[in-house]
Amino acid sequence: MSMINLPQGFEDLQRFVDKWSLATEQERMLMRVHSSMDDISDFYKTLSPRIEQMLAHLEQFPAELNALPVADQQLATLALSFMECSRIFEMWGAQDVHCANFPPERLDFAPLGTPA
Amino acid sequence: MNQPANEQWIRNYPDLGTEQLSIDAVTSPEFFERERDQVFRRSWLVVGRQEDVPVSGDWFLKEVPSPKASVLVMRGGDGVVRAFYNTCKHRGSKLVHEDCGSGVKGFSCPLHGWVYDSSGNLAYVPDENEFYQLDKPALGLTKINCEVWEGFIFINLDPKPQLTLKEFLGEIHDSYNGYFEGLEEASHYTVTADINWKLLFDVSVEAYHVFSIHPIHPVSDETEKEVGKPPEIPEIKLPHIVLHELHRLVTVPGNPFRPQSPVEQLMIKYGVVSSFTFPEPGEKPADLPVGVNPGNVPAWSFDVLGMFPNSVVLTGRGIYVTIVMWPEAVDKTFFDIRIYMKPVKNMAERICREAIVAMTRDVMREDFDHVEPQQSALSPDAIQYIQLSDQELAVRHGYAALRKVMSEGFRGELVK
Repeated sequence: MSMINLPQGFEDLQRFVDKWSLATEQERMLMRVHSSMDDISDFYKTLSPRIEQMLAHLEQFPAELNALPVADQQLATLALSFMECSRIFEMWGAQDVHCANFPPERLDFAPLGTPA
Repeated sequence: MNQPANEQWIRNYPDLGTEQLSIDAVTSPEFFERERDQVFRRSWLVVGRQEDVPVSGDWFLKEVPSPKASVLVMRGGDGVVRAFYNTCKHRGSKLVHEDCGSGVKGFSCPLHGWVYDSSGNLAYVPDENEFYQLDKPALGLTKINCEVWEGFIFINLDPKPQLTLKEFLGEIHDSYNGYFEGLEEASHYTVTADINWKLLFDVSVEAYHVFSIHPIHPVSDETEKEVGKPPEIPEIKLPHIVLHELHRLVTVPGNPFRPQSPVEQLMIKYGVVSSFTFPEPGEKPADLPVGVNPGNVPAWSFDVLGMFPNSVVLTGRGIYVTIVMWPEAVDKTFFDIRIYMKPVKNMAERICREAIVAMTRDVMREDFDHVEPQQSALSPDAIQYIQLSDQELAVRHGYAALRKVMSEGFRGELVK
């Protein structure tokens, strides 16, 4: 288990931190695509009734992850992973679009604000 | 002009013809070489945004694969953005090796230490007295024509471009009025794919493929109980097509009245509302410039601007996406894809934005999923001509513009 606890009031989500608190868009995409439907479903359904409270808590912080206290960073990256999964789960009930010929590893992510 | 009911777009553009098109433009190495020399070596090409080099001394490298050119783009001490060949004028060494940087006064060549200032002038030569006649003012970095339009940095590898950037942009030059200002990069990725660059361009300027490639699949009963029925996507007909001399635009509609998911309702609460996710009902609002939703179509979601030769820009409200296609070979292309969105004020907005980033990326991946198999099947033994419908008129126009420039240059009949 992760040594870093989520902020007070979100302890019940602690079991998702190791798998879903991921700092980059690429990590979150790969975790989504390579997770089982059981895992995605568990994650989505547990966070779905909590996401509004998570956002209400995180609204006090600036938009840069590094500016957050570590516990809140974990909560923010958990919420980012939830957003990564939300549309595909809500609209497809799946981990991924049909993309057998083009695995997600084919995307090379560039740091924001830099040329390719 | 909008399409009258039951009429075809081709009536607005009868010169384009209706014949089937040869596949040599996407399979022939000989065509690729002519395209490289007559189009890519002579066109204005998008290499980045001015936000990539916000202050003096900021710079980045663009490695153009074909025609091969290492291009150094830099904002000088005077604030002007310039482009240079990344080649030291001493003995032709590669001057800069990193991808980008900021706040530099200039560059020192790693080989013998010749120094250039941030405007490309040769500023210092170690042991200068050992040279015989060194015309330092003439030995600045070799300039590449570079202009900025609506924040996009363009280069032209032709030392004497046939058209100014303004002439090249034609009708679109005055159509955007600062539309691209004030948004920030929300995602940026690159892809190298074994396809001709035009295959992805082509699929970007038609919506005929949407029903097959971007469908909404039925969800399981259990999921439906959790999140409700998926919205239906009707067959999409392009409500507006406009073809310029070189460039083209199609408008993609959406369904403004579909039910919103709980996550989408949160996005609205936090003001993260791009028209990709929330198409606009009713008439075009007055704050959009003439180039965005130029047909004033209701239920507008976004436009696809195909900029000659190799850039596609998706323009929505609060979001635009750029896809720049850099050919490496007839069947190999480097794609640079960036999503720009309204800046976020706090972490809650930042998180809501991620849903749009993921959705846009998934749609992009669905397109990529099909183009490599398409390229591999496109052998001249199997197929000599492709068939294009009226809904694919912008695809037809792309090939017509390309062939026209290849045969007549930019000064032919193209420019009034």
